[in-house]
Amino acid sequence: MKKNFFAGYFLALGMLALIIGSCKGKSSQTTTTDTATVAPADNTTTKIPDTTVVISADDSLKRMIPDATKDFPGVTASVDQGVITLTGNISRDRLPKLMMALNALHPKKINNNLTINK
Amino acid sequence: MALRDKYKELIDAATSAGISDLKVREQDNVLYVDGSTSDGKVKDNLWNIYNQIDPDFRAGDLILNIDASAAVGTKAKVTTQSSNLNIRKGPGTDQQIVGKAAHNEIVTVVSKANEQWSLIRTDDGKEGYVYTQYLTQA
Repeated sequence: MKKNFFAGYFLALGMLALIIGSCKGKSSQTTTTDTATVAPADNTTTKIPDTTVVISADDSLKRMIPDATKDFPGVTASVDQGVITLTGNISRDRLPKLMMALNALHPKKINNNLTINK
Repeated sequence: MALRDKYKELIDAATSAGISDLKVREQDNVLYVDGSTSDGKVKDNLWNIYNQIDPDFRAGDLILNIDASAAVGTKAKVTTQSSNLNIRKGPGTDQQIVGKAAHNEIVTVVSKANEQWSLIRTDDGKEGYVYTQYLTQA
């Protein structure tokens, strides 16, 4: 009878040890999983290189162009989808100033169809 | 990449001239070069190079935006072609003219109203808005 009691006692101890052991295993597994979840989140903070080209909207270009072309009476500028098209007349020495002013308005492109007088 | 080759001399000149915030990007067959400088001569030189590579700016494959306008609180030179620069009541050519600054006159930049217009003060006390493209850091 006593022998059976001890056998039962040790069996219970053994099972308890097993349960504790398996719990420890679980807790260490959870820690690993948490670390693995954090790592990719860190990667998302990597800086994206600034390569965006800012193009002005047509409304904005149409509002700014009269000020830019005011001193060039022979020049007409039209806007379509960010593209400025120049027609009319200009003297060659004045062309750079006009182009500098228009290039600063952030157009997509400038088509220079001006007739240039020397 | 072809446009970077075509305008290599311009990009190299901008880099060696120490253009601030220099950005060179190619998108839909147009090269975009942006930056700023406190030296108007550097800007003029880059435009001369542009004009040499693409005579009369006919190709439509480059947008060169070099800001050489004077910083707020500093002196600027009026760099019109030859005429006087209109000083206006507000930022816009539809605004009343309140005075004129002479070609090559030195004025003080008080603030910038927007990308196109600056509020300035002349040495004789006239104050108003002028088109920023005609101001160069003095």
